[in-house]
Formats: sequence, structure tokens, C-alpha cells
Amino acid sequence: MAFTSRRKYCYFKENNVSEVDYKDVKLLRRFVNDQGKIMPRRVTGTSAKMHRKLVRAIKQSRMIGLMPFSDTGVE
Amino acid sequence: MRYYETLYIVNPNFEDKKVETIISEVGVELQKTKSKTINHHVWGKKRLAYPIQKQKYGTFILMQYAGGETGAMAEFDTWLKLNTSVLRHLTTRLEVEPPKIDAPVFEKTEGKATEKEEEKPIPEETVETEATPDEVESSDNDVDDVVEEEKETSEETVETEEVPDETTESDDTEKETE
Repeated sequence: MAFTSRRKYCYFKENNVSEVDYKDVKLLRRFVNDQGKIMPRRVTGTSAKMHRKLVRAIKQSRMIGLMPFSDTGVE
Repeated sequence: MRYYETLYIVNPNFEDKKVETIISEVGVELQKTKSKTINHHVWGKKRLAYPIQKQKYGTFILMQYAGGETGAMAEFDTWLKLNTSVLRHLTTRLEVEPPKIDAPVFEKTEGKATEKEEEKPIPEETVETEATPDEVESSDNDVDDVVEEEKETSEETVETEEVPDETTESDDTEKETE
């Protein structure tokens, strides 16, 4: 059956990253879906502490125009 | 001593000289807050995720400094807001002292700043959100991008004219995310 569970892990803990930079769009892009929505912790496996920092970084990135508020593919 | 970082966007159509004068103006204004500038350079011309003041691109300028008087900092923030050549700005507090970068004000340092967390295993759940192509490549082709962009827009207009001729059920809802 399709019950092969994969271990979820926090990206930041694995890589010993303690701060999230809002300018690092390439990294932040991994934590939003195609629409530009922030993905939930249950999906990404990010630790609660780092998720709070991540959310902050993504929102800052949106304010300065580096990341979209919403990206529906329609211009 | 607290460290701050201000990233601001200026109009991409300004020539280098104009950008330079803006940078010096901002620098002078920052001196009024008795802050010590550590870095102040052009981060690069980048495509904006959404248009700001009808601009699709923006020249990003990064400034890192050791904070001065708090009251004066608020004034500096207001000054940036009222400055018409600055499209948008964002000030954040840095937890650690930023390293001094010896980049000249104008050399294209973009890409390098984002390379820090390079090549680390991607959590598998998130792979589906498409691997973004290396930003380093795009950094060099900025000028080309602008040209391409113009082409695209002209093509788009053509397309829209042709739409009535085609089938009306051409639902292009879930197209291109970038």
C-alpha cells in the first residue's frame, strides 16, 4: 500500500541555519506554493521556531517586491 | 550598538550617474542620524514580483549601518518615504554585525549575496515547487531581459488581438507561474 512515510525534517535545523534572510528569494521560494502562498508546517516539516522566522522573512520579501503576494499566473 | 539594513529600490531607467547621486543623497541623509555606514552599494537590477509605481524592474540598493539616534532614524525613514526617486524601502534589524564588503558602489554584486545557502539538499516535500534556475545566470542578462520583456509585451498585444478568431474556450487560467 501507499503508506510509505517519509521522515520530515526541518530544513534549517539540518543545515544549521539560524537566521532567515528575506533577500534570499531562491531559498524562500521553496516554502511557498505556486500561488505564492506560504506552505504550512505540516507540509514542509519546518520547526516552529524557524517557521516563525521564515514567515517573517517571506512577508518582508513581499513588501520590498522580491516575492509575490499572489502569483496566479495572470498578468 | 544595533545594526540595521535598509534595502531600497530606485527607478531602473535612471542612468548610473543619477543613481550615484541618489546614493550619495541617501548617504548624506543617513549621516544626520549619526549612523556609521558599513556597506552601501548597488545590489543589482532585478525583476519585481509585482509592479511598483508601474515599474516592472527595479534597481536595488543595499545599505548596512550601525544605528544612530532612534528619533532621527524615524525621520530618516520618513525622508525615504517622501523621496520620489525611491520606489520603496525596507529597514530591518540585523542580529550580528554585517561584514564589510569591499565591492565598489557600482559593480554588480547581485547574485553573490544570494549564493550563501547554495547547494543544500532540498526537503523532498518541497521539491514540487519547481527548482528555480540559478539566479547567477539571470544576473548577467538583465539588459537582455528588459529587451525580451519588451518583445513579450508586444507579442502579447498581438495575441490578444487574435483571441476572438480562435475558439472561445481557450481557458488560459493555469498558465506560467513565473
